[in-house]
Amino acid sequence: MAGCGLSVAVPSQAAQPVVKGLESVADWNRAGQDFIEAGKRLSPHNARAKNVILFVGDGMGISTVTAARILEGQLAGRTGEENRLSFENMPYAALSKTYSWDQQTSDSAPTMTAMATGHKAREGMLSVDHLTPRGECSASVNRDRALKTILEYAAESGKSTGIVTTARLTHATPAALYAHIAYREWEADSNQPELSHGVPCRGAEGGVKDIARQLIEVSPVVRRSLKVAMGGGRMNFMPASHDGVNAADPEHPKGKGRRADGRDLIAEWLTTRGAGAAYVWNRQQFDALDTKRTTHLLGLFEPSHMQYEADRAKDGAGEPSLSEMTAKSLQMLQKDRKGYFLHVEAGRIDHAHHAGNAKRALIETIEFARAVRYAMDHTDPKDTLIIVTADHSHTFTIAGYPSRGNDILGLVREVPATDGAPLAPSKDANGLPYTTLGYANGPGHRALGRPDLTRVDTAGLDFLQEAAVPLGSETHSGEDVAIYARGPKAHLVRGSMEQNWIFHVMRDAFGF
Amino acid sequence: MRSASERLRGAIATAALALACGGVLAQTPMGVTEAEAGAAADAPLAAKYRVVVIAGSNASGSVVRQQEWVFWRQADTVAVHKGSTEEIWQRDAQGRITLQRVLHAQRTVVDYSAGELATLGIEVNWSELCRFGSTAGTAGVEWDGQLNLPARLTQLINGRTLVRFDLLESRPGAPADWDLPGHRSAGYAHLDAADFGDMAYDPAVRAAESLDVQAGWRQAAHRH
Repeated sequence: MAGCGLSVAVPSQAAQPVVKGLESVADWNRAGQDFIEAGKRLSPHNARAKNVILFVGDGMGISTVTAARILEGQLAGRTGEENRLSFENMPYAALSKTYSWDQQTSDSAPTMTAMATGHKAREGMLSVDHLTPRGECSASVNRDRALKTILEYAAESGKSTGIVTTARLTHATPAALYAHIAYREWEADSNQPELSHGVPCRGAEGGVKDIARQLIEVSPVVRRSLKVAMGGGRMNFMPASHDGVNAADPEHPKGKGRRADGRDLIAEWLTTRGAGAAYVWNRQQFDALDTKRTTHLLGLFEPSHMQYEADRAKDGAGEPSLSEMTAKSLQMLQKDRKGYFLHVEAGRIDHAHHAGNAKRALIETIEFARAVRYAMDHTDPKDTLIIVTADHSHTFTIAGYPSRGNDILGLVREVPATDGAPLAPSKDANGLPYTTLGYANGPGHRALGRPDLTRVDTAGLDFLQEAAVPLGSETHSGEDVAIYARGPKAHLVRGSMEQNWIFHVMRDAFGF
Repeated sequence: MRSASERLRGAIATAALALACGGVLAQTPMGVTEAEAGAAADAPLAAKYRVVVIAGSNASGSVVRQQEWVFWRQADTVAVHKGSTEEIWQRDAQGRITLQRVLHAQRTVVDYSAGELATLGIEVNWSELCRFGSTAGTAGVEWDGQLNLPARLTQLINGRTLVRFDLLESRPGAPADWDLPGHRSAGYAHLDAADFGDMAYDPAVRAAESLDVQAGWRQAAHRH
């Protein structure tokens, strides 16, 4: 062609794109083919599951998963978008519809009740059916309306069970597995009213037991089975006073127990679980625990919720991470040849979102993914079903047109219209930059109008993302959440699912 | 050279004063070092203030509300009893600061952990708390250097409402005949502020959030 004196119009001096992904052109096709081949190798694994692990990221909506995936990748020095959180490598996934019997957008009580029992329930109620009256304090009514949980099924079949959370052990999500009560806030007897609907409640003959007491006084079969219970919420197990003297918290001497009945439920755990029972409340004790010699472990690492993962290193007494608690729990439960059911909750994703603080929520999510990774690496997919999901979502959004690799916590910077042009913050209608992450409502609302964030460290740990509607606390949201699964019967997690069907997958996997 | 106490006594700050944590100043009075202020603030002390709210932009306006507050300061606790509510700030050995809001009408104590305060974007300055708070945003302060507390403090809110704090009385230690913060709430229910998001229906949560908003919290980018 050159001999014909013709030339091809190639802009030889064209500038290179400022933003570049890591992939070659061939990579896209190769990755797609790998995915197809992996899918073809999948076959339903219909064997019974010896073990089931249910991971719940409280409030971990899909936007939270996406942003956490990007942040994890960026923290590792990559662009981030191509990263996958541990559970995103599981072979099966579905969408979960999270409405409850009486809520379009639900709280954690009926959503975990749905997963734990197979029944959608009412706002604020734990593992009782939707015919239960609000505020019902009668023990007999709560008992009659109780729904058996997957943990109780597992216990009855002779398996070991465990519960791990970074929230209080008596908080809604973990409590739905062992407690049956019409009101989630009745975590200690001091939180129960003297009267409920005119009927004596707190400490009354025939009154429903508070949640902490229900954990200690579970049925004999669950008492034998429940080998691990770790999280926060120490105060709900401690008496307000001993012989008239305030019972001080071991970590925070000015704090005291919340039990009005004077009972020391921690001591009762030790006396009712046999000689191999143990209780730990700080990092040193946790690390020193001999799982081979311990039969029943209670860990209560904070008076209320455990520290955020982002703040954990600053805790005075020290406390384990969610992944460390998951590891310790598996060491305990894997001693049982009959198998186990384990629930692991990242309870504080939700709290950080409520505060409008995205970075803490995402760090919690990354730690949650680390805990799942530990479980994936230390269990056999042939005999262990692992399900990872959320109870509900939040109003958390990923917005604008940020370029590839743009700091997920930073200001939106679009791909420049001209290759070679520098990246610059995108501007709103008033000429102000804005962040990629935000909330539809919550404390991040700026009452005086949008601020100029040009010189603000939006990636700072305490930065509150902007919110459209001013609310003291950001709220849950009603869109679907994801379910990920691997192991026996994991293929039953598919398509669009009602949240309560997760229970049925687990029960079918166990063969109950 | 004047002694620390003389300099404290003579210090009058006229800088703006913001009642960030409900009557708490945010700036070291002029001429007082942090160390001096901290040393004076360590002595256990209880002080009564008359709080007068005056409608209109000057002192000739009508008094719309008058209260008596009790301020109580110890080495690791700073608390204010404001009638129907209390604030109890505590600092532990690691320097972490926590807050309890006592809501007498709801018979509820709301616990704010150090992590929750940070998550809400609240930075707490302990030495300012010990001196009744921040001087940022005040209309005027007369300083009692011996007590390391304001003797009179005036704040103009929204350019229309004057709030004046007058020191009425102070006593060392914990006067047994005073209604000190924390003394009436032993049997109250407790809530963790981290749980507010799930409890918008709860009157105590609504009351506490309202106080938070009044203090400038639960609105982004505030520091205390």
